[in-house]
Amino acid sequence: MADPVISGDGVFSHACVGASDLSVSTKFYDAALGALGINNLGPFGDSVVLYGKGKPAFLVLKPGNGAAPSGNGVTIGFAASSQADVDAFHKAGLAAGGADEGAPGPRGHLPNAYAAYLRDPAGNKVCSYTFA
Amino acid sequence: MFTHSFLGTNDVDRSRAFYNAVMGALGHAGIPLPHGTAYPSDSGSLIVAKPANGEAHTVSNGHTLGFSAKDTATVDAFHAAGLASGGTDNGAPGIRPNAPGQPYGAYLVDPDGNKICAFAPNPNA
Repeated sequence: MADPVISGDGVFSHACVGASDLSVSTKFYDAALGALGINNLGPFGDSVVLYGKGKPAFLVLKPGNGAAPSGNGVTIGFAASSQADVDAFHKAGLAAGGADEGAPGPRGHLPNAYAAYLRDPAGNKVCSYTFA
Repeated sequence: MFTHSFLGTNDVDRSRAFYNAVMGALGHAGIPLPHGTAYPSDSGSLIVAKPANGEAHTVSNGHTLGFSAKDTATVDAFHAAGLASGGTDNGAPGIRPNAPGQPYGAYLVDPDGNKICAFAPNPNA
């Protein structure tokens, strides 16, 4: 992109997650987020790949301190427009190097919630929700 | 695009004091939960709570969560509120020349080690 601008839509301007191997992680996010209409917008420098709906809002990157991605407690949730899109997110992620963290289905802790959870190849927990 | 983000904590009261301050500066009120605090919004919700798997929260290297601020003064208020409420400076308010779109931003590390920031549009754009 010639002049990308962080999305800034909504409460969150953006979120970053670490990758051990950018090509492995971007293969996963191309598949899983592509199912939700969130596209790979290309690299930003040598160590960042941008994703978004038009404008970048999700960044997959090599951690700036050179250490491996790590951690317990972070989850990033992506909006889906239908239960079928949640299913597609989960299936595409599993086929592209992700690990199952919760099969598609209703989530009783929220009214009308239907969700699926994955771990990306670097171990980050992501999910997709719809309330449709 | 985002439904929510979940950040882990090992001390609910401490993290609630911090996030009530920084999210309050951004215009978002907290709702106490048994194991954390939620900051709901129609355009995405933040939940700061103990990890659901029962294990300790550990810092997620490479992860940063960014919040939208309407202007530079709001970014300044976010940073000051966080420093006064148990956060650590991780980048003073100012133009970020290396971020897409050169926004005006400020970075903090929360009391549990999570890295967060607030971005406002570049005032010179």
